[in-house]
Amino acid sequence: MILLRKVLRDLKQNAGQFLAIYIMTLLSLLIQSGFESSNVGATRTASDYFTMTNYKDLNIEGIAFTYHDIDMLNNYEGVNNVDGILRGTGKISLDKERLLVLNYIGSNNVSKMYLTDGEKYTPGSTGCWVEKRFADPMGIRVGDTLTFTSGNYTLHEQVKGLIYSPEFLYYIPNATYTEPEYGTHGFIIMDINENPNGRIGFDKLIVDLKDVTHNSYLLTDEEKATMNAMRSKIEHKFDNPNLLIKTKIEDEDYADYAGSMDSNNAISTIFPLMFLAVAMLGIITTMTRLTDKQRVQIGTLKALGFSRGKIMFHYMSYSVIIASLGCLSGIIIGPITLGAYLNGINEYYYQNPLQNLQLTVKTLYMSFATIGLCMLVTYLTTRKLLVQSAARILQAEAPKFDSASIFEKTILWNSLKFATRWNIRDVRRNKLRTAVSIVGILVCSMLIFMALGFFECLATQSEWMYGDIFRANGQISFKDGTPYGTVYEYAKEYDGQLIQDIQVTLFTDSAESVRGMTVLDDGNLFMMENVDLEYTDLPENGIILTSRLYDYLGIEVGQTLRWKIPGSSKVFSAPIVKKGRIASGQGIIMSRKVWEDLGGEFMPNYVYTNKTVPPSLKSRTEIDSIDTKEKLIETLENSNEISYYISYIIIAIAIVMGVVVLYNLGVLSYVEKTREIATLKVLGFRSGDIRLILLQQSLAITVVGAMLGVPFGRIMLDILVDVVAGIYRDMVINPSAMPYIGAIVGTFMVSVLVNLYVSSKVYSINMVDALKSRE
Amino acid sequence: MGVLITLENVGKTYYSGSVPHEVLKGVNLTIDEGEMVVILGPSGSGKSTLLNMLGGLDSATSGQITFGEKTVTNLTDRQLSAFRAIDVGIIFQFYNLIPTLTAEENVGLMSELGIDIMDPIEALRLVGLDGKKNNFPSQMSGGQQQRVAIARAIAKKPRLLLCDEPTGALDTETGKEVLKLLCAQCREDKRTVVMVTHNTLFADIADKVIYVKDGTVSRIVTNDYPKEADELNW
Repeated sequence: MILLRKVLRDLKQNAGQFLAIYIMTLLSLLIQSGFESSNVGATRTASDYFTMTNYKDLNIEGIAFTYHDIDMLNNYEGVNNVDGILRGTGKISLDKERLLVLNYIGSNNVSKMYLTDGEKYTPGSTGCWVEKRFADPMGIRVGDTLTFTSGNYTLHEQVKGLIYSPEFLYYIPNATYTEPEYGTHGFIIMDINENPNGRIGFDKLIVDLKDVTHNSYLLTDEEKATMNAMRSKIEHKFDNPNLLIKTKIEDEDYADYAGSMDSNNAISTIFPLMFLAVAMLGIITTMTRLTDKQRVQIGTLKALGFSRGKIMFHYMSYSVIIASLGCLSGIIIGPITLGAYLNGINEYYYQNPLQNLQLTVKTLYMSFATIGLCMLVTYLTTRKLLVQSAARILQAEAPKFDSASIFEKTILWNSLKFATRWNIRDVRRNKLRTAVSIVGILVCSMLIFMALGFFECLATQSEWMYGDIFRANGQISFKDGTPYGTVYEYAKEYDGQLIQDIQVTLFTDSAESVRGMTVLDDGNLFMMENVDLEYTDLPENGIILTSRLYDYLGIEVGQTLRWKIPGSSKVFSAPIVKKGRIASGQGIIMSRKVWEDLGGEFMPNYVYTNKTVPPSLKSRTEIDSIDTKEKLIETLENSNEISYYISYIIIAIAIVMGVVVLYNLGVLSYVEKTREIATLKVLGFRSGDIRLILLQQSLAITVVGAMLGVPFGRIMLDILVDVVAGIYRDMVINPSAMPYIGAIVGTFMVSVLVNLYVSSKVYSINMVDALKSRE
Repeated sequence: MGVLITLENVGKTYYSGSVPHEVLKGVNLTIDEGEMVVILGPSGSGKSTLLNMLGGLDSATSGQITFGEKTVTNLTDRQLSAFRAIDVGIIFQFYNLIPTLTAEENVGLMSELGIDIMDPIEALRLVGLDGKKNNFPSQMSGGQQQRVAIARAIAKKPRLLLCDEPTGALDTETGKEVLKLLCAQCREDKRTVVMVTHNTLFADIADKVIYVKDGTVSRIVTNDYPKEADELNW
């Protein structure tokens, strides 16, 4: 108990230095637990949500389905249930006119509604079930009667329940939206009998398979194979080129949800490790300083009969207590701040009613690893003192400075000013502290470079995609099944280029992925770039595969890639002739000629044009949307929103870390030099002169640290971009002068401000006390 | 009184890099149980090194030291710790109190090792400081701190009390008070006290005076009529 009291009082006395270790371990665990709790919470609850609602295993669209089709599929061996959905849009007048997505269903055994209030749906029920996140802000309650349009009809439906639906994990009401604005638009589910057009059939079928019981990360390879096999069987049965069947792992919303968690997962590992490294540096300097300062106390304890192990345990308890407190605080604060913030972003995009924050044993391991590392570092710093005899420890250690360096024997040395010579010798005497300072500044500079570089990558992405690659002023998007002749007429009228852009299943022997296939007709409104970002012609005898997919698919240029298009069991294959790069969307790109030579039917669904397309064309039945270049850029920028937040967080972290590390080391350095500073004051040096000497050293160290941080920042930037881009998008890493200047100037500002603050303590040094004190 | 400590041909060499410094050479002496011993010698003569050898604070390079039945020079690091904890009480010139512990806590520190010590308040009462039990070292004078150090040393009732210049940092009157306490430990409690000093006047209170010069014991003088501490003037 007495030694514990000593620990607590020592911690209080050295609060500044221990606070730095506390903050570093706190930040380390805050980030880890923040990302982890959000990721794990989202992943697990998504799985629970999908399981609870019996989320679909297959999604079938593209043609009109009859009740007979549902019966037929229901009779397939291996099929558990099939639901039909007929989709439409409507409007409702509330505070103002609001858009509705309407769903008419015949049964709800697959992707079942998640009821939060009201009564359960049964086939043949009257009334409607309304999206909870729309109903709440609009003041819609169970029992209310809503009046809304469905096509040309007006419906009056009583609200039977407020719901979430896994079919609406993510949705936008129509193509004019670039991202969801939940609460301002809603979805409504009704029985097919409520459809004013009668029981006309469905435009979407969702299928639940008997042997696929898991969801999300729990899906097994056997279950994936089962889904693929059933897809092939259904494709074969319908034999319709317009049929599009996706397994749930190919579902874009489902995949994006999982994808965003993958990148968060990587961030939750990389950043805590960086902080941990800095915390270790802090512990090395602080514990070295503490044991040096308490040399006599350690010697006394040893002389009094305390064993080496007992003293070691005592000194290890300092860092264990601080690291444990830091870890505990991080684990508590991380989920409720960063975790809640990330969950907020998730909730903004995805509707998962069960979403919460969950921690895993990984956080516990991370805490143990942090505390264990702290113990190890303390052990190593204390051990070198404790191996000596008690008598030796009790002797005051003479400064280890027994010879002049070669440089000090040169003529140049004598020409240096006193301040420079003093600083060089001080650095030589305090190599560890200097090295740790340089590393601390290096990490600060590295983080700033990485954040600014990443920011630049994001900012230039839209310019790259919609300036260099996509060279049109806008695009006309056509609905599925629009005849070639119709699209061609638009291309002729607006002097546009025809593009076929569809989702296909790429596969190799080792991997399979649903990605884009872009087929380009003659024109120069979409220009491909190679890996060196130089324009490249489309190959005449093969295809271009975009760069992010090579590793994932395990394929190289020169090899043959196979793929299937929706609604066809035919397997296309072609050699990969070039690597291409494209900002958003990854997949294969080829010329119309190559596609037709392969036996493909060119069915363009986009026209890229430089002419102005009147927005009124949107009302035409064949047109899905008309997008200007500005709108496309806005969409891309919106998709990067989370990544922008990451860059802001990194900059904030870099500054916090820089301040903490530099302040800690500055104070350490100042405390160690108190007697020397006091001596200089006694000799007649003015406080301002002494501050300049101290500042000179810190500036020199900052120069070295900041410069070294830049190349490390460049490496970290590559890693960050790789993690964030994943296999879905690409970014150009070509930092301008801005990240370089920003990293160095930013680090300098942090360093100079912290050092000015620390060195201001020179004014308050009491010469008599400083020279008198023994410890 | 029997022999408590025997030194046979004890030597100590320190190395500064590869350069040897022979601090003690061929020291032979005995110290009896309950004896008041003063080790005298100029600065750098090796007297503190000799004290460190006696207390197991440092190891001899050559020779043998026995303490009662124990051969100190054969003890392992762990056994040496136990030896210092149980058999030896040490009083330093600069007190070496733990600055973040109160007087009572400094005295009670040895209880952390599971050693049966006297009540810290009682030990402080013996040195006249029970009223200062809650004071930190920085709140006490040098003399008071040294008395706390004595209380810490005697609280565990050691067989040997080693004092390294115990009055070196104190004024005359306070020094006398400290000497009186140490003498009382020897005369009343029959505890062996070994004191290192460069103050030749202290030879008068000793039963045995060991003169150290250039790392050797130059002579040993037995004092049949030691004075009381009160009788000294310096």
